[in-house]
Parts: sequence; C-alpha cells; structure tokens
Amino acid sequence: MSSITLDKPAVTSSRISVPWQSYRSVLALMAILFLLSFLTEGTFFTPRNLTNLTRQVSINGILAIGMTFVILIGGIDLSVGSVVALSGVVAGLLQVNLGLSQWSGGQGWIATTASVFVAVGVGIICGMFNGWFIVRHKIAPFIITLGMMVIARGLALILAKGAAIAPLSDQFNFIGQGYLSTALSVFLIGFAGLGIMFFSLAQKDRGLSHYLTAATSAVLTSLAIWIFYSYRGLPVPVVIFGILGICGVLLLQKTCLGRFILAIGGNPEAAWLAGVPLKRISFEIYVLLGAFAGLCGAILSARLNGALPTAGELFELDAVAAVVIGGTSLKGGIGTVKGSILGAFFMGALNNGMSLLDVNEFYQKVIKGMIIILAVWFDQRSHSK
Amino acid sequence: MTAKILNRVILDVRSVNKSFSGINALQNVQLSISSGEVVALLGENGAGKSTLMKIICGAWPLGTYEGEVWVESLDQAKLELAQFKNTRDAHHAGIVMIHQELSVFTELTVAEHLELDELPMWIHWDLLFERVQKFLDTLGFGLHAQWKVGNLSVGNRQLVEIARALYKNAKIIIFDEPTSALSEHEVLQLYRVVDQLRAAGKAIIYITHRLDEVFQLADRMVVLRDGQNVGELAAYSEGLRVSRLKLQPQLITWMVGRPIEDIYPPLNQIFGSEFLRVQNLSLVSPCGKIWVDNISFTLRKGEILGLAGLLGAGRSEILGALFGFLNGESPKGVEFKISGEIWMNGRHLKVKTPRDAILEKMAYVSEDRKGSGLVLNQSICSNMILAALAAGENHLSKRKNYFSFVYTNQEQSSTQKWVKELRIKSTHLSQAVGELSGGNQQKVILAKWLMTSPELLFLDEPTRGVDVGAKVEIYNWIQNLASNGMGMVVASSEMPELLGICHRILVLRNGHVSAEFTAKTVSQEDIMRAASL
Repeated sequence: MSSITLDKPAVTSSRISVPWQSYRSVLALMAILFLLSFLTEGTFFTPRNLTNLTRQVSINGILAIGMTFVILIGGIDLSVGSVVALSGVVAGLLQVNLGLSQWSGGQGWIATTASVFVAVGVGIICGMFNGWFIVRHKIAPFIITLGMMVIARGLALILAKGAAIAPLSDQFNFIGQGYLSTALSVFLIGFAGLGIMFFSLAQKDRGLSHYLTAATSAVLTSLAIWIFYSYRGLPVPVVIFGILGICGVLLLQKTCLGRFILAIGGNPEAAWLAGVPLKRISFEIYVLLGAFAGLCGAILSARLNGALPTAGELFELDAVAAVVIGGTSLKGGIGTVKGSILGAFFMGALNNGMSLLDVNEFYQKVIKGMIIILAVWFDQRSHSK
Repeated sequence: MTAKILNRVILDVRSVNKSFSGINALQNVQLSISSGEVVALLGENGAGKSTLMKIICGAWPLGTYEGEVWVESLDQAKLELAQFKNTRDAHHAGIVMIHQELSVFTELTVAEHLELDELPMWIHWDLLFERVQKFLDTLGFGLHAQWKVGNLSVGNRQLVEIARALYKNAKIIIFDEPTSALSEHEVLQLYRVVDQLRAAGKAIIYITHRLDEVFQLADRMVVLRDGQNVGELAAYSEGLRVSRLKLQPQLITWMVGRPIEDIYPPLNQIFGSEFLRVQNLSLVSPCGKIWVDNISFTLRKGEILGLAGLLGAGRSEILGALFGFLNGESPKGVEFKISGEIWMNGRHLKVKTPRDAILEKMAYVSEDRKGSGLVLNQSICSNMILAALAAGENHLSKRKNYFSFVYTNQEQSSTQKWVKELRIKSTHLSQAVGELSGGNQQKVILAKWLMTSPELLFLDEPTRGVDVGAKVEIYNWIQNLASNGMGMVVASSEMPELLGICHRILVLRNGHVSAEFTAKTVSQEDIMRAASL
C-alpha cells in the first residue's frame, strides 16, 4: 500500500525532485551575503573584506568540524574555548620563556613546528581527559566538559600568570597572519574545486544532486579565485580550515568511521550490537576535537602575536551554534560537516557585516542570538514536514 | 462459554477514508461494535489497522480524514458524531487505547497513575491511596495503589493501564497487540481480564497477529487488507462456537490475499558435523539473581535449536551470554557475571563483546527491533551494511581500518541484492528504516547479519510483530540458511513457531534445562508442562 516494490533502478527518484533540503543552508548563506553587500553598498563584497572574513571564520570553522562529530555521537564539548586558551598559552610559553621565538631562519621553522605540535598535544591531553571520563565512567559529557572548561581556563591563567605572553616569532605568527602566494592559492583552490567537480560527476548513476554539487562547486571556486587572487592570496588559517574541512566531509560521508559515528548517534545500542567499537570511537572523537582546539589555540595566538589566557571565551558556544545552524541534531545521528562549515560562514558573515554597518556591539549580540534561534527553528520546521 | 445476546451499538465507523500524500491508507472502512462484544481486528502490517485506531482515539483529529465516526453519547441515549480534536476528547467520550509500548511513568505509584490528570495541587496521600485501593479491590487484579509502576512487570503495567481506563469509565477499550511482551502466565491473566470486561459490557477492539488468541477471545473477527474491509466472521453460529479449523484458512486467505497451506516450510534434513559446544554456561545478574544455571548443549551445522520457556526463564539471557552483550560493556551498562566455556569449531572462544562474537562468525537478531536492532532514522542501506563494515571482512572497503572508504556503488549494489532476495518492500534504498513495516524491518536486520556471512545465527523472537506473509518468508529463509550449513539457536515465546521451525527444543525453567525434546515428537502441552511445572 504505502510501499512500492523496488524493481526500477534506484536513481529515478533523485532525478525527479530537486533536493532543496540539502541546498537550503547554501541558499541561506547566499541570501545573507547578498543582503550584506547591498546594505554596505558593496564594501562587504570586496576581495579584501571577504579575505578577512574567511580568516575570521577559520577558527570557529575548525572547531565546528570537530564539534560536529562530538554532537553526532550524542555528546557535547563545552571545554573547547578554554582549551584554545590553554594550548595557546603553552605554545606561547614555549616561544617566549624557552626563547624559541629568538631562533631565526630554518631553526625558526623548527621552533614553530614544535610549538604547534605542543599546542595540539595539550589539546589532545584535554580531549583524552574528557573522553576517558565520558566513555569509561559514563559521566554526562555536559558535566565533564563543563569541569574541563573551568580547569583549562584556570590552568591557562596560572601558567600565564594572568597576563599576555608576547611577542612571538615571525615564523610562528605566519600560521595566523601569513598568506600563501597568489599563484599557489589559485592552484590550490582550482585543484580542490576541480577535484570536487570531478568526483561528483564521476558517480556511476548521477542524479540531479550531483550536477548541482558540481555547479555549486564551480561557482564557489571561481568566486574564491577572484577573492584571493585580487587581494593577497589565501590566508594560512583558511588553508588549514579548508584541508580539515575536506577531510571532515570525506570522513563523515565516505569512510567506515563516518558510518559508525552516525550509527552511534542514531542508536548506540544497535551500533554496539552490530560490532561497532563504540567506546573506542567515542573516545577518539573527543580527542580529535581536543586536537582541533589545540591547533586553534596556536592559530589564534599567532594571529594576535601573543597568547592570552582569556582568549577563546565562548568559542564552544559559537562552534555549537555553527553546528546547529548547519542542521545537525543535538540528539545526535543526523547532520553533516558541510552544514557546519556553512553555519560557521553564516555566523562569520553576520559578525563581519554588522561591524561594517557600525551596528552597536551590544545590539549585535541580541541580533546574533535571535538569528541562531530563528535558523534552528526554521530548520526543525522544515524537517518535521 | 455461551452465546451472547448483543447489546446496543456504541461505536460505529462509517465509510472512513484517509490518505497519506496520495496513497490511500483507508478506503471506505466500516466498523461497528456493541457493548459487551470483543472484536478482533486482523490484518498484515500496513493493512491500516493502526491508522483506523488512531482515527477512533483522536490521534488523527477531525478533518484529517473523510467519513464519520459515531460514538454513544455520555448519557447512553443515542449515537453522536465524534468530533475529536485530540486524544483527550476521545478519553472523555470513553475511548481508551492500551498501547503496545506501555506509556507509563516509571517513578509514579499506581494510585498517581490512575488519577494522573486530575491530581490536586496538594495531594493527601492517605486519601488518595485509600480511594484508589478501594477501586482496585473491586477489579481483583491484585494491584496495590502504593506500588511504584517502574518496579512492576510488563504484564502488571498493562493491568495498570487497563485499571486506569476503567477508572476513567471507559466504554470502548482498544488493545494493540497486548500479549506481544507478556509471559504465558500473564497472557492467561489478560484473557481473564478481557472476559471480565466483556461481562461488564465494555466494547473491546483487540488487535493482534496471533490467531490462537483470536479464537480464544473474539466474538467477531474483522479483517482489513490494504486499507479496505475484506471480510468479517462471527465466532458463534446458532449459539455455538465455530471451530477454529473452519475459520482459520479463511482468515489467513483474507489477510494475506492468497491461501497459505502451511506456514512452516519442511525442515532442513542435511546436518554437518558438530561445531558448537557450550559447557556449564552460567549467568548471574549484578543483584545476584541466577538467570542461567550451568547449561550445556551442542549444535551441528545446519541444525536449528529452539529455546522455550516462560518469560524470565533465561531464553534471551543464554543468547546474551553467547553473543557477549551482557558483559557490562554495553551502553546500557548491565554487568552480568558469566562463566562457562564456548567451543566453536574446536576452538575455545573468549567472547567479551558483540564485536568479538561477530569476528567469530556469529550473528544475533535481537528481540527488540527498534530498541537494539536498527538505527531507525537511517537508511536501509546504512543499516544493512553496518555489521559487515564493523566486522571489516567484506568487499565494501578494501582495507580493514576505519578510515577506509565505503564505495557508494558497491554498497548500493550489494544492499540492492539483499533487498531483492529478501523481497523487502521499500521505495528506495535511502528510505529510513523507521518508515518500513515490522516485517520489512526484520528482513533488513536479517540481511544485515547475512552480509557478515555468519556460521552461527542467534534469533530472538524472530517474528514478533511481523505479519503472516512476512513470517512465512522468514521461516523459508531460516530453513534455506540451515540447509546451507548455518547453525541456529532460536529463542521464542511462541510455541507453534518453535515446533514448526526447530529440530530440537530445550525447555528452560528458572535458568535450568528442564527438558529436551525432538521437535517432531513433542506437543505444545509437553513443552508447557516442562516449562511451568
């Protein structure tokens, strides 16, 4: 009665209907970009401003990618903002107190790499702490990460003695402030864009959605080439964000691990009975987000040319907001990395646009909050229909 | 039991139509029922039974369907056109549904549950308990007002629901597969209660898949198929109960749309060597209850072993111990103590988690399809390949680590193959499994495990909540797999099923094996006796 026996090939239905659902967030983003360009009389839509926008978005974007996985398995991590600060401070101490920032030339790059690795390491340790309590001792993620949030913030303040640690070396600052050369930028963007187009068209049974993906990717690639070629090239944080973003999307959509994450979020009991190593994966996901937070700590202090123990306040909530705006369910099991990346851009565009428009900072907060609520409300309404 | 003089009609459903996005779920359906009558509503999954019930109890409000529902007015004078905006309106009109999944609040007492929506701001506990206890005593269900609902068995919770309906003066009580989660003993108790309700002049609509219940209880049987009335039979003719043999073939033909001669296919007769040996298996719960006590058995390739016994006799627990899901690692976190030895193919196995069991080529179809069998919001495809991916031994991904890619085309073609072979009715591979009917969901679970190519398959209640047509297909598959050398252990509360599909049956009582039978030589009564004495 309500079911049809499947004799025809499975493609047919995807040819008929345009899957607007999956393009909703892209459309919303387009709409807000257009609106802001209009309101700022074009100032918003200049290569310079858009380059800055992407760099501002990067950190929240990277955190949102990691947060997506955590939320997909039905968890939450409130500690990321503090972990960003803590790992930034540790990297800063390494640079300033151990004198790594004095190293120059080739040695300076070694010092920078070491600092970044240490920052990521600090993040991983925090993630392991979270994951261990949540997975092994079955304590609610909200509680553990709330505790971690306070602990990490406290440790950052202790280590930094409550003050900023500066200045950092030029090489280290490069990961926050630097640009790739325009030629390399164009090559990278073109490579990524063509890659996405190639894979969406290389599917054996292409549907409309594949063509749409290819078309979207073509438009975005040309836009990105225009932005970054006309200004100064790709900012380094954006490159990191881009690479992690592509890895995240592939991980969730294409790998076994991605399937397991969705299954764990959808029904942990069933996933476990089907042989999914639930505990190990859950643990690793908290560690992954910790590592991302550590990386963001390094990027943030590099951008500021100094490690602040008070940095990263409310980053966790920005990341959660981006994830939720991107259509991921807080109950777990439903969501995409792509959505979260778009969500991060959405929030970033909003911040940037309102600053350009000279909206009072106090009002900005109110507007931002209302837009988060509206976005999620619309999303849920359209899902329930 | 004597024939009834039927009283006045109190519910009359007149040519109801309902469609979901263009597909007709109900077409011109009629149903009338009198006081003091038990009507069994029969039909396969998806025949429209639950849609009809939802209309009657107001879950589909007025205006979402066409046609009329007439219900007796509160003063019992005449029939009134029902205009329910929600289930609460239907409650006021005296219509209550006893749900399949019991919606009771576990932390409340029985008394609170009965007075749930009319509890005063300030509760006088003594008065409340006294008032409710007085009422409960008149029912004779053996319930106590002060019991906490969460501590009651499923059967008793159901009685609480029934008591609540009666407390609210319900006239029409709808049972939706009430016995699917009950033990034999509780089923008999329920039958008595239904008889009692009938005697009290209530109208009862009874939805079930089990035909033996129907013949035991119903005065009339109404069959739906594809959203239409296809037939109706009375259990009495000229004052005498018509024999089951006369009615059953007709009912099945109506339900399935074609005659089914025998729902159990011939047993597989090709056995291989003995490959599973379980020795001295014991299972003790954290609170010290011995669920399984020193049980040993063996299994040959191609053999199907049945586990019979009352609820709580240890059927599912044996499977749990073998498949490793009672070892405390589970998300639910129940930690049982397990001892004993499992030998498979001459090797001593150490199974700590389901993952270990799967890697040893075992598979387990759980009794709770929705709770632990499927990821309901995900596609048929994702659900089907999950176990194979987790086992890492398949052609879907080339390497065996988690970062290896799942190739969409291969994934689709291999799941498509199973969808065809098991005849799973769906619109698309990416359809969410939650939207499928029970029988098709069960087939998805079966396919999920067959994709891991297991040697040993555990089935717990393989056909619970599955309609007759899909049942037959599943039984055929079971024999088919057995003849290809798969060993199976089947736990079931349905005796005819065990007798029909198993070679050997172990009867369990309080965790012991109380008898072992060869299925051909044993009757249902023998098993019952061994299980309950």
